[in-house]
Amino acid sequence: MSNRAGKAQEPPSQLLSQIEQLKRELREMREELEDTTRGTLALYNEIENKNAELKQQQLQLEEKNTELQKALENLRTSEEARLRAARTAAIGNIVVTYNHEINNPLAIITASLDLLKLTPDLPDEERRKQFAKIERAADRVKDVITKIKQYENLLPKSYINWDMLDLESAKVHYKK
Amino acid sequence: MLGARKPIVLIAEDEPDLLDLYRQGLEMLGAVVLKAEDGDSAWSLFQQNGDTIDLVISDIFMPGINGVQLMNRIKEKNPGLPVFLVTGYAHLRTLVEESAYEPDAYLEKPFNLRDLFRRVKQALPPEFDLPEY
Repeated sequence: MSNRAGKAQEPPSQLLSQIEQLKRELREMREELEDTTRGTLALYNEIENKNAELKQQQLQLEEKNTELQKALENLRTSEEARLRAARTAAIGNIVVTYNHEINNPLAIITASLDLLKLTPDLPDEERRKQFAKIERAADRVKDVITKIKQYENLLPKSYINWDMLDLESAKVHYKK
Repeated sequence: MLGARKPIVLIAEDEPDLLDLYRQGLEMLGAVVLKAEDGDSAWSLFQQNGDTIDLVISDIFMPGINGVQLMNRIKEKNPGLPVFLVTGYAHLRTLVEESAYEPDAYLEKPFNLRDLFRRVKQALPPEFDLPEY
C-alpha cells in the first residue's frame, strides 16, 4: 500500500491479526485432516484384517463342511454295508436251517422209498413201518416250513461253524 | 478168504429212522452193521471192534464228537480204513479242509440207496462179492 506521497504504508494491525488467525485455522484444519487421514487408514487396516480373518474362517468352514460330507458318506456306506451283511446273514441262516432240518427227513423219505422199490417182497409189517417213517419225515418237513414262515419269532443258534434258526424254541402261532 | 465172511460196517447217525434205513440197506448188501447214534458211541464201538471193521460211514453233525473228529481219530489208528462222511450241507466240508485227514467219500443228504451201494462196493475189496441192485 502507498499513500499519495508514494510512501509505503504498514498493513493495519487488524488485518495482520486476521491473517494470523487464518493461518492458525488453516494449521488446525491441516492437523485435523491429518488426524482424520490417520483414523481412516487405521480403520482401513482394521477392515483388511477383519476381511482376512473372515476369509480364513470361511476356508475353515469349507474344510469342516467337506469333512462332514465325507463323514456322512462314510456313515451311509457303513450303514448300507451293515444292512447288506444283516440281510446276507439272515438268508444264510434260512439256507442252513432248510439244509439241516429238511435234508434229514428228506433223506429218510428217499431211503425208505428206495428200500420199498428194491425189495418188492417186503413183508406187510415191514412195509407199514417204512410208510410210517415216510409219514413222520413228511410231517417234520411240514413243521419246519411252518416254523420258518414265522421268521420273526426265530432266534439263531450255533450250528458247528454257522448260525441257523432255532426251530426248537420257536413260538409258532398257527393260523386258524 | 474174504468171500467167506460178511463186511462189517460201522455207521454213526443221530437220526434213528435214518440209521435204521442205512442198516436195512447195508444188510441187503450182505453187510453186518454196527450202529451208533452219536460220535462218542461210534468211537467206543471202533475201539472195541476196530480190527474187524471194513468201512465207517458217519454223519458230520452229531452229538458228542462230530464226524470229522471221529474220522481223524479212526484214521490216526488205521489210515487205510475207508471212512465216508455224510452231510446235509456242503459248507460243513470246510471243517474237513482244516482236518488232518480226508474222507474216502462224501455223501450229501438226501442220497438214494443205490448211490450208497455203489460207493460201498467201490470202497470194499472185490472179494466180498456184494450183490447188485
